[in-house]
Amino acid sequence: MELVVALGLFAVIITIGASILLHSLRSLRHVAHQAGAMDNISLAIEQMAREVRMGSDITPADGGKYVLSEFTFTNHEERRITYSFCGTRICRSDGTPITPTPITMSNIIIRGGFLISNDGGRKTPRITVTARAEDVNGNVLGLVQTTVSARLIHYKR
Amino acid sequence: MKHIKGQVLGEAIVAMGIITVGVLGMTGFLARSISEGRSIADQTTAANLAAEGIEITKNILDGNAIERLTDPTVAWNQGFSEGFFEVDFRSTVLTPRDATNLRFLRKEEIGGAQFYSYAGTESTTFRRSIEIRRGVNDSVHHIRATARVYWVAREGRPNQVMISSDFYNWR
Repeated sequence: MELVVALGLFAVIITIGASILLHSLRSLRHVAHQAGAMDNISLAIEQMAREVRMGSDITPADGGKYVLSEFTFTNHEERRITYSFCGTRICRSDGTPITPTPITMSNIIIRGGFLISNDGGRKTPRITVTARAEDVNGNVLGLVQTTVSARLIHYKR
Repeated sequence: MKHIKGQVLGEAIVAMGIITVGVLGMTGFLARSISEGRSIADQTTAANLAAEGIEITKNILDGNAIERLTDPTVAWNQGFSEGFFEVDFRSTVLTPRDATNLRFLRKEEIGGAQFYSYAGTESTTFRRSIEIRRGVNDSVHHIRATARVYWVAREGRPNQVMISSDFYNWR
């Protein structure tokens, strides 16, 4: 009888402990995935921002109120670069190869867009990029937004 | 060997105590890791929003430089008096704002994408200020812009990210 009680108590405690531990580990895995996703988006946006700052001839120069899925500009090496939201990823294309190259991971679903404005030609084009990361189950991992404009000013004389 | 009544139960309770302490310790450690991990997403968002604040400030200054080409009376730092301001991605000028009464940024849905702005409908805990100060050694040709983003973490802890940038009248 005593052995049965001891075993019963032991089993209950172990079950509770194991379930708490497993739940915590699952949460930890989710958080690690979230951190990886945010790192990945940050790096992609940082790469884009650095290149745009040194770039020129942004097309379209003024996207008005419309959210764009891609924009093109000339980078510091005089190459036409296109950044786009291609499917569930952010892609970069320099024309060769024609197929855009994804710069974000395949296990993160990224949705977003670009807003381009230049205050009716009174300012250098300003690109606002927003990217929302989701996991494969549709859980939102984070929303990152930043704005960038070219350092080269193209004067309209 | 003499069997003492309740010995197995006693041993089991001691073992359970040890296991419970171990599990609780590990759970505490994991809970802390999860809490820190969750704040990474907010930190990333805040850092990018702060960078955006500086970038918009720079873009407005560049606009002054463009206007000066056709109208030399426009000052390079027009609209940049000392104080605290707010901007969002639509701003074409800095909007003065009391630093103790900053508005919360909101999520705005445009064309299926979500943006942080003051015109949005979904509330967030992020607030942003742009502080403009004239240069200490050169108050005419030097401006320091400091973007701060404040937010409240899930456990109620206040957080802040700060980025500063110096701008000069070099054109």
